[in-house]
Amino acid sequence: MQEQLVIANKKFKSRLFMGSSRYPNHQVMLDSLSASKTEVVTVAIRRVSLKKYNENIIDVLKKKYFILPNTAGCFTIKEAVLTAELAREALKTNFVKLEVIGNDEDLLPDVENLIPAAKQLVKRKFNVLPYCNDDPLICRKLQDVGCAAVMPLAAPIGSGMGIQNQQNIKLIVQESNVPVIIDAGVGTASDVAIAMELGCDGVLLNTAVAEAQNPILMAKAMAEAIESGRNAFLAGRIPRRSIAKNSTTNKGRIHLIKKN
Amino acid sequence: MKKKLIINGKNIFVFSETLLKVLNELEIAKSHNLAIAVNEKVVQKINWKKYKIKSGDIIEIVEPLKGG
Repeated sequence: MQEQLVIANKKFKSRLFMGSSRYPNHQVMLDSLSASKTEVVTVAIRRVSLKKYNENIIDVLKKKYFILPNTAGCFTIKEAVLTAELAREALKTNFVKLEVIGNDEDLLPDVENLIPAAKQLVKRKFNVLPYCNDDPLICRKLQDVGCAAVMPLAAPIGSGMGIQNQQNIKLIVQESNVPVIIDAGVGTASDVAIAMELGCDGVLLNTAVAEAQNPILMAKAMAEAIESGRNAFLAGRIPRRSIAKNSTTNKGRIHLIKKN
Repeated sequence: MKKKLIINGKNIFVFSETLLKVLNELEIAKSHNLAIAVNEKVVQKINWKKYKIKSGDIIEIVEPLKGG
């Protein structure tokens, strides 16, 4: 049996973290989450509508999943820290997926603000899981300020392009003392398998399942990719070679002699 | 006397004296997932009943929603 993922003393059986946005409807979301075998579901913190009652599925999710609030859409340290504080009050959790982005277009992490925001939240006893660039130096700095995990992107959010810089991810994994969770940019199951084969501790994804033609089937594929990728990593792959190496011995093969 | 508040970015006039009464006055469903900050400080749920609001307060009322 594989060892469990542990983040800030919390054990997780599944290494797949799932977002809860962009599904065609609530039932497809619930069925997809179930098919993914995830334990962790991310949610956003948003202003309530002052005009009408919004159907809210959070209570349903809370019964079955570990809820990880995020600070999606925050542009400043102040916004991110207050959103995290509100999330803790709303959901009674110290865990937070910290997002501080630079703009609304590329949604890339603004690391200049991300690191001090992480530092403030760690000081306030949060277990901080920062969404960050695939940069080993930034990941090390986030680890040094006390983050419980690092979550480098595979590619821009929602792009579905898969891991763009495998070498950097490999370096982050090698250097990290905290779990490395690939967050954002995954497009399909092979992307997840590659992340796990590189030694990542988990993958967080949303759009790749929610906007697949068959989200439930894609969720199942993602769950299998997590397991296959992790097993392949633990098994230890063969080194890559630039030339062929026969797998069958030549000893004893027939050898025809040319007649004169 | 009516107080002028900024709630979730909108100018709103209320008669209420406390946070809890503001929620009632504005008919905001008091889901246990709600969280409130006044002037950028979280006010814990147990304090809503006694927390006195004043004109000019900036209030954020939020809840968890689907997100990635």
